[in-house]
Amino acid sequence: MSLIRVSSPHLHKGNSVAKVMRLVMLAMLPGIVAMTLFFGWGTLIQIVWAALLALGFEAAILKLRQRPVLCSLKDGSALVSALLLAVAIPPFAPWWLTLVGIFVAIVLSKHLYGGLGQNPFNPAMVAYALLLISFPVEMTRWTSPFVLSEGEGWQVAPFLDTVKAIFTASDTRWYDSFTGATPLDALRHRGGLTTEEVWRQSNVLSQGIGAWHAVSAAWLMGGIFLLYRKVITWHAPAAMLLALGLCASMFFGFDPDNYADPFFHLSTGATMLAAFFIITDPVSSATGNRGRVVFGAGIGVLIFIIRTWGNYPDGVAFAVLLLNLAAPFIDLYTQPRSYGHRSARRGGGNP
Amino acid sequence: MRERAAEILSGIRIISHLLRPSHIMIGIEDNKPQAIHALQQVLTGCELNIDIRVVPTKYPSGGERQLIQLLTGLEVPSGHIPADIGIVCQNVGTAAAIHRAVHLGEPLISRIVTVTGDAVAQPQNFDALIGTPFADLLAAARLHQERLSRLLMGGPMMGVAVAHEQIPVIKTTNCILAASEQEMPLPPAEQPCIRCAMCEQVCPATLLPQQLYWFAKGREFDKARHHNLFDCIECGACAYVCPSHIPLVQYYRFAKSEIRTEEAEQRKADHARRRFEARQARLERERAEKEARRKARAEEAALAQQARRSSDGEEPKSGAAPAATAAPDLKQLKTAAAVARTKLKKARDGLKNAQEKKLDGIDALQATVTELEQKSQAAQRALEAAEQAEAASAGEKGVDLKQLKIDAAMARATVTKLERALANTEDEQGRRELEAELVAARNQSDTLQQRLREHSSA
Repeated sequence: MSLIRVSSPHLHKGNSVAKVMRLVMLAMLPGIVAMTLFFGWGTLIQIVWAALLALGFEAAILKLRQRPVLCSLKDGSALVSALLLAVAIPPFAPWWLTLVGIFVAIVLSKHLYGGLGQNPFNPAMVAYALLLISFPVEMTRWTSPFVLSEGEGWQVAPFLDTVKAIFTASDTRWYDSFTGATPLDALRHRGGLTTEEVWRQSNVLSQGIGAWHAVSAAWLMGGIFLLYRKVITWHAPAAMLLALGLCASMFFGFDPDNYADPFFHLSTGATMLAAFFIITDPVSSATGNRGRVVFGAGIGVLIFIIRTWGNYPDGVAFAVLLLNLAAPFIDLYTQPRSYGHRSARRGGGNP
Repeated sequence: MRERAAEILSGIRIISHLLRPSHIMIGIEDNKPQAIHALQQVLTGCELNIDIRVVPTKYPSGGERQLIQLLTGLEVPSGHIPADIGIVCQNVGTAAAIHRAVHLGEPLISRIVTVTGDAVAQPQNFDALIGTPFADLLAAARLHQERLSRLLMGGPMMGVAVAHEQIPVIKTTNCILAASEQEMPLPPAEQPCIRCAMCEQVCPATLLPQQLYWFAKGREFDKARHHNLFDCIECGACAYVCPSHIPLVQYYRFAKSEIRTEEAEQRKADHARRRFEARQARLERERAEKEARRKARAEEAALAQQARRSSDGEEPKSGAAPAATAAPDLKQLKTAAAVARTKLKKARDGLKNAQEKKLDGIDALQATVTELEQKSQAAQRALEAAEQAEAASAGEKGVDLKQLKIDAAMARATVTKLERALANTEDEQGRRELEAELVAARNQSDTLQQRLREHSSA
């Protein structure tokens, strides 16, 4: 009789990386649906294109690294990175932009560092930052939200035209008719106007803002789902939103003419997407609960600073990358107090 | 608990009589309502201050430290035992066993063993004699041999997988788990850690399991210790939730055993070093003592010679008396004279070398040579004087030879006694004291022996 002899514990919850990734993708559904509704088929097309690219690159690089391809492909981490990048770039971005982005995300920022679990930076954000710096024109040409205009009904760019726009990019005129500034852009490049004047003059702020609110609400829904399923903890998102809200309230309270209100900060741009889907990426964030609070708060403050005084309208990618750098350090100094110890330990192994 | 509530209470009475505690608490998980009911029934009208505390069924609240935290809110300090904070934690089974031992005079020869798992048809509790092979209990619970794939002693989270069924029941065998393949499938392949920190969320000791895993894997044991590796109770909660199926507990056990091995080797090396140093010190001391004795003798010989020279011409008897007390050792004097000659030769060579090469410090070397010449001459003179004295005092013998012999024998006896005592002592402190005494006694014995030898040869 041969009995199996393995070390305890002998039970497992049955959780797996693939399950976690599937839940994350499921939680992204409301956001994707909302984006498709308000910004057209572009988002969906980008997602499919990015997913295919990600799987292709992942398989190729796994093969090159002589790792089991199928087993690692199934964990879905590449798909999640692809999805995050696809929803972060403009829906009408040309096909090669996605290609470059996914290549950077999967090959450069993940596998060159040692693959899943070893990347110090969030792959999607590395790719986003690289694209933003290298191709600023393409990356800032966001679609104007489709709104219910009187008499014309719900206007959405036709599917085939969208595909053409993305993959051939020849008909720029058609394309231009759909693009416009994001609310953050509008506020950023407002000239000498006060916020209230911008608000009245800008189309996107007066009419399109509702779409952005809806999309943010959808991401928030997905985030709450993840919290409910215990895929993420509340620490990082709550800290980030609170820090961003506090900073915005402080400046808005002092000088409402020059600074946007906190609700605007929380409900536009990539705030909600970042709070629940990007900074909660376990690999590149701080790992402890206290560490995650510090990590999230740092990102919140940085987002506000970059949005308000930086060169770029949205600073999520840069804020996340900067705090990714600090994550190991944060972890060292935010260790919890262990059972039976008077105080928490700090630092590494050389007390 | 359901069947033996009265025995448990009786056992608690005995423990309470011994310890006189201010509070007694019984923690029962909330999924055992019948046990709670049974205990409540026997406790009605009980004179002791006993609280039944129903605790949520959440692993690993049955662990001693975790239960204490759950019931009292206190934490047992790291590296201490519950008694250090005034708490004694006992199993109900222990309480029942105490009742049986005290009231019925029955030794601990049996214990309750739960036999369960998918591979047995009738899972149940047995009051099994200690030493019963697992196979007997499994047969009584109607084991399906073909379904058995894993046999555990203990629970599913911390139990030990055993190699075969002939293992006997021991005092800590609370459960025998005969699991089928479906119940406990082989773990899937380990995947890379994604740092999700789910392990950290569930750790009952508030450790950072994930960091410990990295440190164990990278053999950074110092860091692992710094992250309180040794507060890990190996409950397995981290490995249970790990989405990457990493056998975390196994990594911790590996790190702990590596650290313990390292420490043991360190202790061994320290011990060896201490012994070596002690030996070096002893040799050094013995050499110094010998040197001192030699010097003293040389001085006495010189004195004796001076005395003889001053009383030269008088009758030889008066010169012989001091020579006898000084007991000059011819051999040693010879060596001293030879050593002085060698030193002199070396110094002269050095001087010559220095003069040839015109080095600094020629004056100093010159002075050394002169001094050594004098010393060498003095040694030579002392040697000659001693040889004369030897010849003169051939007839003389030490009067207290007998006394000396007795003293030497007694010193030897003391040494032997101390050696025996040292061999029987376990205590570190006592050992050191004894070692010191022994060294002193040996020295005394050696000295007496030496003197005895000198006298008998003289």
